[in-house]
Amino acid sequence: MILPAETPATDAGVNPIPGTGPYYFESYNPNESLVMVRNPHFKEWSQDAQPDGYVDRIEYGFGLTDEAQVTAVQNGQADWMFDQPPADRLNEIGTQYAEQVHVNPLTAFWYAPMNVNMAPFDDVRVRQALNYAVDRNALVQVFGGPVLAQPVCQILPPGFPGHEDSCVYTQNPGTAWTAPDMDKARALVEESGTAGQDVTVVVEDTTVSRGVGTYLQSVLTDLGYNASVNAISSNIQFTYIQNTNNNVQISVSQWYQDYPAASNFLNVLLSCASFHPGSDASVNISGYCNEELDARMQAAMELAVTDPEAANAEWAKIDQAFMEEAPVVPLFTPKSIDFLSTRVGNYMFSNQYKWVMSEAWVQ
Amino acid sequence: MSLPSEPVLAPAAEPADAVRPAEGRGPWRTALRRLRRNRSAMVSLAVLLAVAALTLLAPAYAGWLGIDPFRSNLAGTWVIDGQSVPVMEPSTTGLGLGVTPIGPTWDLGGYFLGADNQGRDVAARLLYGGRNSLVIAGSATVLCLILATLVGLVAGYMGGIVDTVLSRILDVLWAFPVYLLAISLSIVLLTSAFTIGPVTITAGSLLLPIGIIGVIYVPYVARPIRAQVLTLRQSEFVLAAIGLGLPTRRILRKDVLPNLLPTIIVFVPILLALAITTESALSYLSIGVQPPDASWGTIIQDGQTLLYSRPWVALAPGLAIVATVLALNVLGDAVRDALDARGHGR
Amino acid sequence: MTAAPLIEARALTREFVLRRSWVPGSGQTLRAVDRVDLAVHKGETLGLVGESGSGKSTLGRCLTRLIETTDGAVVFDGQDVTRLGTRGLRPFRRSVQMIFQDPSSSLNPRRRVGDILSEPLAIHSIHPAREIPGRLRELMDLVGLPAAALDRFPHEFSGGQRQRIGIARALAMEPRLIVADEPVSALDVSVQAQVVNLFADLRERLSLTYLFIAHDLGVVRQVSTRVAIMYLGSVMETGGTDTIFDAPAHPYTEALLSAIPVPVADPAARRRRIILKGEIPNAANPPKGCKFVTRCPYAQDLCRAERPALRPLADGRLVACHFPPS
Repeated sequence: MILPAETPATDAGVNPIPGTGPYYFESYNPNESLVMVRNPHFKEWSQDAQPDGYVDRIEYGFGLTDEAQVTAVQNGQADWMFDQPPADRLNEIGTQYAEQVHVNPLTAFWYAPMNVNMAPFDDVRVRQALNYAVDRNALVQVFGGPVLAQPVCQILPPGFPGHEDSCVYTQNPGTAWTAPDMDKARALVEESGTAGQDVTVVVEDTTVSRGVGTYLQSVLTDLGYNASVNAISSNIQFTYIQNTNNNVQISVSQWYQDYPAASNFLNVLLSCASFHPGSDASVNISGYCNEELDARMQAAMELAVTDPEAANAEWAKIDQAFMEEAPVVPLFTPKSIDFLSTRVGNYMFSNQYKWVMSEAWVQ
Repeated sequence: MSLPSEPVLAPAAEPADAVRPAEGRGPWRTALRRLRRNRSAMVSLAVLLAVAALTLLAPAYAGWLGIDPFRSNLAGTWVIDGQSVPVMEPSTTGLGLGVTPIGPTWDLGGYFLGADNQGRDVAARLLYGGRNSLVIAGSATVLCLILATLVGLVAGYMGGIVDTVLSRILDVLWAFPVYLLAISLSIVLLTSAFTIGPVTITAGSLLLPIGIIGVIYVPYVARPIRAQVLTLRQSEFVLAAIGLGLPTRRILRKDVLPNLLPTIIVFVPILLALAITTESALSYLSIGVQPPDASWGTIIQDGQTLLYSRPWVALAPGLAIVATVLALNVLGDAVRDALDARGHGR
Repeated sequence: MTAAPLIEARALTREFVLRRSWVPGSGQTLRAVDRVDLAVHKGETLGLVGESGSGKSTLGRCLTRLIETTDGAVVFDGQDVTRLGTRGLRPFRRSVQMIFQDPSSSLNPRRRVGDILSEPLAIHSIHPAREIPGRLRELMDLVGLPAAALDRFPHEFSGGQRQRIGIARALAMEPRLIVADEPVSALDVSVQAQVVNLFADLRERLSLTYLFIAHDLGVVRQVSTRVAIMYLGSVMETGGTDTIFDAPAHPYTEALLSAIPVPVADPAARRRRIILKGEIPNAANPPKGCKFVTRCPYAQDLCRAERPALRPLADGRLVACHFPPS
């Protein structure tokens, strides 16, 4: 996307910024649909940077459940589904519709941010205990099995610049996660003296999010807390958990790369500047603010301009430093599933944009 | 018209209408006999007793299985036919996408109905869920009947302004669609604990669905009770009791209430059925029983995402609800017939 | 009859509201009992006769204070009991009892006969507890039922027997006045005779005073010493039974008596049958003058203009008519 030069380099909130490209937004009704139509004024000036599109019109329809979306694609009533297919259809589409399915690794992760300004997660031992206690293999099952997800215990996803395999919160700390360590977790909880407190996990009302939340509740109960799950509409959950007025202790969320740099994960998610109390746009959901790590991140970002390799090594250390403080519980890194109808051709996947829709054609 | 003038005081043995040779069999015993003779009612009663007994055995069953049906068991394994299989089986065909919980083993030793999407034993949860569903339904029924009888008695017997005020309140309450009212109340009350005097009700407490269901059906029961109290108030034996100078409390207790009891009793199975369905609906919508507690409604919600692969997770609680409600309706009809005082003789 | 009456209605009025209206004056009220003066003396049986809708049952219930009066007074034994509350009425209730028309609805179907009868005895502490069973057997004896009946439920008895139980209940407190509201109307003719005989027998044995409300003239003649005829809420004529039956003074009484069926074979009993012409007026909107004016064969202009009061005739009876036979 190309922007006007005078666009301010700050969060524009909900005000749209003008841009240019092969399509423009013709209509948007949040209850019904979003329609993009070929931009008649677009001239392709570089096929690598900004290719023209093949299809004339792209229409997003809203309102179908994930089950209904799968059926719609199977029937050819839709060409693609935005949401991930629900767990009980995965086997079906993986066997009967295998040619229409494309699985690709994502530079993304599912994680549980913990509110470091609210009990019991204001105690670092509790945050570490939860990191030890979570069985990430179990969560892989919730997402759809080992083909579709891998456990993670860091913030930067595998294969991402700055990522170095390291896992502290497992039974045999080393480079990879193996198994949860309940003994250590329980010891930490006892040390903190917070057992018995009420904890509510705020999730979206989708199957996977709810499943992850229910599992987390089970783990928290095992650790001795009085845990419950609160499922909120996925239309509002993401902003809900950001706003400190809602007093969310722990939630389940995901982060996908916006651009291929470590700062997109670490700086955006965990810097002091990303924490805006009382605002719906406070993507540092944990509310974790560490001036020292902030300074190190600034230095790494400046270093990246001149020496990207050295910067990435520094980012790896920053990643580990954050995990020592455990403001979040990294859960797993998902793969993306694109389920397309039979008439769609020229499937292209990019780490940044996932399915490159504009390069597809339909017969 | 002339009538025989000498008094003929016949003793009671008038051939056409001798005192029936009964041992003072009252209307209650007659009703019980009629109920016992109704075969479908007895079958329904047996079904209900079986359901109640099974659900009461929930902790025993879970203990015998050696599992905690409220704990996620996503990474667990189970032995089937001598082989250890993971409870959540990853797909091995095609692209290997997806994970399916193990299906019904039809073995009472474990996972009789299979596992749900957290790897928990559905059969054990079904029993616990039944316990919660029945406890909530039963308590809500009792609460509703007590409130409705009080309101109906007071409004019907006292009449006047008291009756008018109470009836209008009932009308307003009944004007709300039942489920809408239940949903609104649940959402408001379920978000946080609240305190009434010395009693604190936590957010996940079962008292909330009990209270909500009990209250929203009060108009449904109170209006017929009030109508009957109005009729009884005008009946001649109540007038006679007033004429005899008996105190009001006594009249209510001995003349009105015993004749009101058949109506109240008939409402018991009806209300139980209504309460079970309402509680299931609320729990299905996540505003009734809260996890980690289970009820038949929450299990249906669990099974909704497994309908294509493991339909039993949703079917089993659904069938349980159908069976229980059906039995209650049949029993309710039979009870109403048995108590019908417009006797079809004996 | 110079002694004070046992119970008296003085200008007794009872209205029922048929239709309420926000506009004053356009609502409809029904005067079931219209400024009735009636006295029942000790030891007599006053038969109160009228068609359905004449207000006789309502009058009976007003007199027993089972319903409220709109206006006027009920005086029992010299005491005005019209506005007394439940507690004030307690002694009154012991002295005045009612027997109801429908024997199946006047007894609580869910209680045994013994319970029904013993309750007033217990509540009013008439007898010490140990004497109550004996008193109950006495009552059963009085009405001609076996003692075993005490353990039965009302539905196990026939209509006639249930009415006897109702009578027993009324007698339980040894009242001084019994108001019997159509006590035999709901019974078979053959059973009626037995119950009527019971009434007569009891009156002699217990020196009771009765107000006997009925629409059947034959029964009334048998039981009553005095008779009062009611029409549309007002008393038309009262007097001694034989006096009235042999020579009715009021045109309405005359018509009523003429309607009594007579055996064809007895020429002496044949009488001139008077068939009333005209419409029964709307009870909520009675005629301005005499209430009977629309159907009276002797109606005159004065009758249409002015309502006649109850006036005594030479033989002691009272008649509400402008032109009684002199």
